[in-house]
Amino acid sequence: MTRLPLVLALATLLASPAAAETTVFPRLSSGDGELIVYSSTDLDTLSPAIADFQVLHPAIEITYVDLDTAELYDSFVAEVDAGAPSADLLLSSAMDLQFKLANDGYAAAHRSSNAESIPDWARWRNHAFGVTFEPAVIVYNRELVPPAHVPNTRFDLLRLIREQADTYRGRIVTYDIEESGVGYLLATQDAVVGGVFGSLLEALGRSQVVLKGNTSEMLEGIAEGRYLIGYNVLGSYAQVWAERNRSIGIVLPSDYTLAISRTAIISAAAQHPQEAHHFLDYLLSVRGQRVLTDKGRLFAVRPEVTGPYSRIGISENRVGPLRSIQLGSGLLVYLDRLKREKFLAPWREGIGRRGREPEGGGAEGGGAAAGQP
Amino acid sequence: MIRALGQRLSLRSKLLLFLGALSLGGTIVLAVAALEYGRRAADQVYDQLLAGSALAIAETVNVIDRKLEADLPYAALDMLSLAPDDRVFYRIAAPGGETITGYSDLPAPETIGVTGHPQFFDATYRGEMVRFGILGRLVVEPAVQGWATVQVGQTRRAREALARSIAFDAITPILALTALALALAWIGVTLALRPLVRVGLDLRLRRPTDLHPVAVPAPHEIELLVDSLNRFMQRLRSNMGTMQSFIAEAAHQIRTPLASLRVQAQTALDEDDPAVLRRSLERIERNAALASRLTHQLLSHAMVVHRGEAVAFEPVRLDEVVRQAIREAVPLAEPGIDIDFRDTADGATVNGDTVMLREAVKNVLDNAVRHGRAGAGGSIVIRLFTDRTDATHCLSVSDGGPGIKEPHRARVFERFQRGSATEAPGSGLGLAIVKSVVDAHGGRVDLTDREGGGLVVTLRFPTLSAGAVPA
Repeated sequence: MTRLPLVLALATLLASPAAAETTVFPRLSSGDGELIVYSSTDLDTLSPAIADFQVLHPAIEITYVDLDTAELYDSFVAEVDAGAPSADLLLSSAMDLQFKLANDGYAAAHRSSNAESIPDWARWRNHAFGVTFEPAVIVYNRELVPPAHVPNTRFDLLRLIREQADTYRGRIVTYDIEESGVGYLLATQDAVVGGVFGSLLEALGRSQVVLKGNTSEMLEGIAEGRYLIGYNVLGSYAQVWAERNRSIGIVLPSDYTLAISRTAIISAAAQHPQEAHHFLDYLLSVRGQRVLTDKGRLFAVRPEVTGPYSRIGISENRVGPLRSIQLGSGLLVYLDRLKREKFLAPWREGIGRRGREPEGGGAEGGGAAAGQP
Repeated sequence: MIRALGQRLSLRSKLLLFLGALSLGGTIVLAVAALEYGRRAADQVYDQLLAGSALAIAETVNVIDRKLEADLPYAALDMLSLAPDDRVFYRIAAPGGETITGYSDLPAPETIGVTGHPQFFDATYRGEMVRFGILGRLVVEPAVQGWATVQVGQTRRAREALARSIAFDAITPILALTALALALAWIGVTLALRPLVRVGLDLRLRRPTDLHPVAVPAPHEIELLVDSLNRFMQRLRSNMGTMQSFIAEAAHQIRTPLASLRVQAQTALDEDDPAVLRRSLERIERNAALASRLTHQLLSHAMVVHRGEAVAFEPVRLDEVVRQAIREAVPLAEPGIDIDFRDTADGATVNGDTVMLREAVKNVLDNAVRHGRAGAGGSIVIRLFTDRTDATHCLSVSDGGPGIKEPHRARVFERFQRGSATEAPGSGLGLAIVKSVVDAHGGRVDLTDREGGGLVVTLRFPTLSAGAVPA
């Protein structure tokens, strides 16, 4: 029974709405509480939590605006700078943009015992809080990729692309980092780790990697067999698909696994600060974390909250080193205008131009990406 | 009010109050100094970080395709997260001042010129105090020339936390030491005052008549007090003894002439013969005079002793005292008395009491008049002179009387003792009074033989300049 809304949710994801979708959760009792949330999270992932929150605070009406991460940042900053009404609470998987908002003074402090319980890496001052824990995984099609080919590390993936170039040409998918904030964040963090990433980028370019702006498109393509392997896919979405579709396989790279945390801030210019504090504290509470885990299919950031979705193997002995992306000033680097251009230029050069021409278009030859980082 | 309170406040409270005020003031001063020091130290530490960041960024500033470019190194900003809770701002500007990248509205330094060395300043930005490091990079290219600037800022939280921690670390041992010092002072005062308490208890638990010395062992500091106390008690005891024997003797001395008066009066009452009656009355009159003189001498002695203890001394001219005494002690009408007064001391002045001194001189003169009359010519020679050898002013009175034989000389100064060879009436108190007065003035009295017979009484008083303090 509970799966019905999920299917509907996937359906809306497939539609890939470019414009913001606004959903209003009417208050359950009389009152005048109001809360405006800008979020990059799919509504049905968060709606169980919103419903549960409204059980605790029935007098609060919640307006939920679904935006992609860049849009969320831009419209919020524009509205606040113009003095226009805007969101009270922002929830985004683009940790870098959320951190920049907090760093630049757009966030209000939130102090509570729940806030204290968040791991240090997922928290900056009392202003930005990671709410979830989401590893970036390699997804593959179980039916089409033989077990011997399943890459456990980035080296495996690199070798696979080189050795089985014909099989995987145009069959590997990853984020279009110019379009997806999370994709950009993950790619830049890969670059920070360095090592294999340069070679991998080159190899992906050569194998005519396919670029997608959102996670669901990638997963859908893999499930349907159009793509064989997806790199740097958000594990939380992958897990939902894996449950629905037997052909989806998930690998947590054992050389290192990046993990992001969906980050929440309260606007310093919030018109409903009280409600925003209530909602943030709910998300950080054990009850809220449990609902996110059990019903929202996300992974809890609080270590003491466990559930079916925190048991998928997010423990270091199975996963290898976890690189949780730290909420800190390092995140500002790749947001720098010049730095972003410098980072995107070789990427575009190497894989971008071809990547956005799905299936084929490899006529320009793969050598162009060679020599680029 | 405050003074009275200050005097009543216990020694311990006073000590703790002063020590407490001192350490409180000291701690405040130290805390301010330590915080300032900590702030400087923290700034030095974190300024290095800012400088490192700015230098790392400046290295990447370059001209590419006639445009100024920079490639922000990841570590340049990531290293600033060593201060995890601090906000970070940066700006890279072209020589013209236009922002290439970063926060274009960063405050500029007011006084600092941009050079190749990192410099630092504080400014408020986005609602918080921010420490900025600013650094120039000289660009010499055909397209772009001049100092490009790299400015990196960081809020002051970590600095303040470090400064506080440094200050706290510095202050904590001082506070602990202060507390220890106060506690030790408390204990020390208690221990130090314990002998005083013991002395107090020793005195309080005594019977009123117990005037034995305090035998409580006392530390050096209060030895003086205990010693003085003991001396005082000894004096009190001897004074009381003297007083008691004096009273007993005085009672005895007065009772005798009174009893004899009474007997003579009773005898006279039974007498019918006017001639015998008259003789009786004459005898009664003589005895009454004797008793009167005795009483006068007793009072005089008591007065001298009292004044010796109670009156503050002041400079007194001895010659005036002597003249006054002569006027009072030598009856004008007394025949056959020749007083020869010579003053060579030239205004001799001693520290003393006029009344006592006059009383002493009068008694010496009285003795001379009384006993000296029996001698040759009745000449009494008074000399006032200064003896420079022992820095005394001397008053000598010579009479032509029988003198006092050597063995008796020591005793004549005791009360109710009289020279042996005398039959003239006397109380036996005269020389005792003289001695009391001279003793009270820190002087000395000598008896010597006069050449050709007679007695010389010499009173010696320390000169003022000798500075002798009367005992």
